[in-house]
Amino acid sequence: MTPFVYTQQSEMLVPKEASTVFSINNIDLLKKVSLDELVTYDFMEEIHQELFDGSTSGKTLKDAGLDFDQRLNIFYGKDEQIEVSGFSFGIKDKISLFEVFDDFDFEGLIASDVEMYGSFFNTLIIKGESALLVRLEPRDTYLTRLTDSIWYARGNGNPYGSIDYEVIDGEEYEMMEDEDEYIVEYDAEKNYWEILDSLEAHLQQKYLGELLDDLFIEGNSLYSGDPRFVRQMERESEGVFYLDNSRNITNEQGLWYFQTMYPIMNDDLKELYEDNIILGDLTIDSNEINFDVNANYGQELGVIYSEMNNNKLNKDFLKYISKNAPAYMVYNIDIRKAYEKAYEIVVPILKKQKNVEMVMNILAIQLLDQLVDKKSFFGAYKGGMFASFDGVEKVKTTKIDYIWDEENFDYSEIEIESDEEIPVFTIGFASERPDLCEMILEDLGRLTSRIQKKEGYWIVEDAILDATPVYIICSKKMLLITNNHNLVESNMKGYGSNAISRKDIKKIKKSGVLYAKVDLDESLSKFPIEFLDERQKLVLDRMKGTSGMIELTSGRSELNSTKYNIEYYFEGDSSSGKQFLDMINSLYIFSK
Amino acid sequence: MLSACIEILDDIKFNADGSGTFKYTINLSSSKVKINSILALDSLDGKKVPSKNEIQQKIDEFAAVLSAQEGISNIQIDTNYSQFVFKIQLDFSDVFALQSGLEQAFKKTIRNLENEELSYDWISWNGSVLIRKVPDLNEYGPKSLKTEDSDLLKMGNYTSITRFDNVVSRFENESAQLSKNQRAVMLRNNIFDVLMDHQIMDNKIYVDSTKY
Repeated sequence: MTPFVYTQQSEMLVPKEASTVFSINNIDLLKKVSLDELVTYDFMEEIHQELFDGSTSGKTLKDAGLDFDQRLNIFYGKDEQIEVSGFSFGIKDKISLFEVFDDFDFEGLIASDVEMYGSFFNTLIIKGESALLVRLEPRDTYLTRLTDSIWYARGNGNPYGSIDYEVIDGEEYEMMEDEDEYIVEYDAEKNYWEILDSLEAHLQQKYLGELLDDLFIEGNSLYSGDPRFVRQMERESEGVFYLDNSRNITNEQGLWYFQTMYPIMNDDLKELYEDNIILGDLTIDSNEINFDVNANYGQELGVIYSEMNNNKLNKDFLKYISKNAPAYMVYNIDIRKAYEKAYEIVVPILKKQKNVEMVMNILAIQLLDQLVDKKSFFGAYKGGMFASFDGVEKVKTTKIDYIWDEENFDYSEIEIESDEEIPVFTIGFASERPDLCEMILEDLGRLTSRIQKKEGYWIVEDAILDATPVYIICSKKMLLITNNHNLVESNMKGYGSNAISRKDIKKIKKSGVLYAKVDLDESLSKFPIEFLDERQKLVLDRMKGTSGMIELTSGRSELNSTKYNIEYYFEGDSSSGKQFLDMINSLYIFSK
Repeated sequence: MLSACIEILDDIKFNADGSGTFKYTINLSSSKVKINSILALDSLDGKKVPSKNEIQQKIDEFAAVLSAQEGISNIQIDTNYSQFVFKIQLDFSDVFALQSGLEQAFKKTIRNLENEELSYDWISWNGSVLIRKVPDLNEYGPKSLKTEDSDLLKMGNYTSITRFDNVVSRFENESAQLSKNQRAVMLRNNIFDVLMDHQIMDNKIYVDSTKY
């Protein structure tokens, strides 16, 4: 344990449980941002209600007594049991601070110089001239699992009492290992929801106590435990970003199936993700925000990434991106090279295990590797792709309208022509097997008249939303799928002089594995957000009303890192501080 | 040109004895591409999107419950999934049977309404005075609307028609129109305004029971 020997700064109060931290160095930028506006951001969501009660009305961060010479650190983290979020900041004027944090009551001292205040589920800690506002909650899945365990172990039936769930009489329920710790504390008369509420309060208190003791008594913070975080904090950019992906990947619920079905394999592969950390710098100019990201990884993953990512650009992609496309991206990978390298690295790791299940898994992998024609397989799908959003197009449809008789208001229906707007997309996949594409479409075409072969392309009638066709072009270098009739009617060989400019091509070529460009004015208003997942939808929704351009580029993938850069040029009257917060908010949503 | 997203036609014909015919049409044909895009999804805003089959099952269930209600007869349901036009037509013995029949059918078919108190009087008729209201749709709709959705709703119409055998002598809602034959009253407002204030569709119609 290393005691703090340096001047207390707000970043030293970030708990080690945080896996994502946005740290704003130049919070002068935010001086003019009103607190009412600040609490509308998603990164404030968990903790905002106490601030959003009138005490913030008409006030700015400056009025809240914050020290603008210290960083504002927004953090988030989760493991299997808990989720923790909050921010730490410097204090200039404690009286002003408590005019804003007016619902917090003094709850005691954690150490002689550490004051603790509480309000509902939020806790405010003040140590010297820095403060930490933290909220900790048990994860829903963990809480439900524990509650179920106690509930069923007592011989209860399904708490939902629904006919949809069958409860087998006399079924024995095995208690979870850690249940004993809680079972004695709960009244046997409590119903399911009362147990759940009691457990939630208990766990919240327990884990928060542990976190605060660890942070303020033991001195274990993210700052004291991770030199990479310290290095980030030493940077002078307006904002820095720290995301420990190794912990995020381990806790990623999207990998639930893999983690459940192949727990041993998952554990073994965790070592691949060691050192997987994303560090970023946000710098701000008058009308431009720059986000430089360094995605770090271990040597083994680095070898795979550099094989996969460092490839020549498929120039054919560029011919099919119109210069008028509001948004497009080019992703240039070679999955065969990645596969070969991953096989070389992953199989030896897995071979360390000698149990039957693992041996059978490895045997299956090795047999597939030997028996599958990899040249054909990876020839059909090489991995590289591009996608462009070509705006919206009016399509002719029909609608039912009414003819009215003014004599008696009787009406009859008529079908009239109508226009509806439909988003237009083009997606291209690198593929050298047009014969396979032709074979599949020919066979499917025998089943339905909706699939027809035309001169140089295939058409699938009413494929999109029962309204517009999809066109498929199986060319020698790629498989193109689009609903842009302009492309197949007039630009089968590419857009020519109407394709993206030489300047843009130069940038794409210079960029590594990934390049993306988004014209916010055009894309945000026209992009059909129904097709996005909730997280992406939220980001787009939050960015509506902004205008400008976002450009994402990447560098070569090295053995230990890949560099990415996001440039956001904005227009309009809104302040740099607001744009800065918008950007942080978007990144926060994606990284959560 | 943006199309209206939704048209609702609410049409009641009263006979002299208080019985009548009720027709209700929801026309979503102007938005069929958008509806198809939504039906293609598993969920939207965290809620499950039903399939066409599930929608049809619900409609059939509604019709079955409604047809079992006292005073309700000749139910006809017409569903058109290529244009997304849904129609219901039924005969009723009196307004009480109509109101109570629809209330029961909604309660038994839509889970969210099971415990709701729906029994507010939206229609009454004493042979010479008719009082009509439309349900407060906002209560069951989204809590907030995006600007683009509001703009579309402003282009949709809610049309309410009330027909009589006798001549209409006057009505209280100044936005309503009387047909040339003086036996039908039509009231039309855009859906957005109706959602925001359902009372704009309220009307009190006086019928001269001596004039046919």
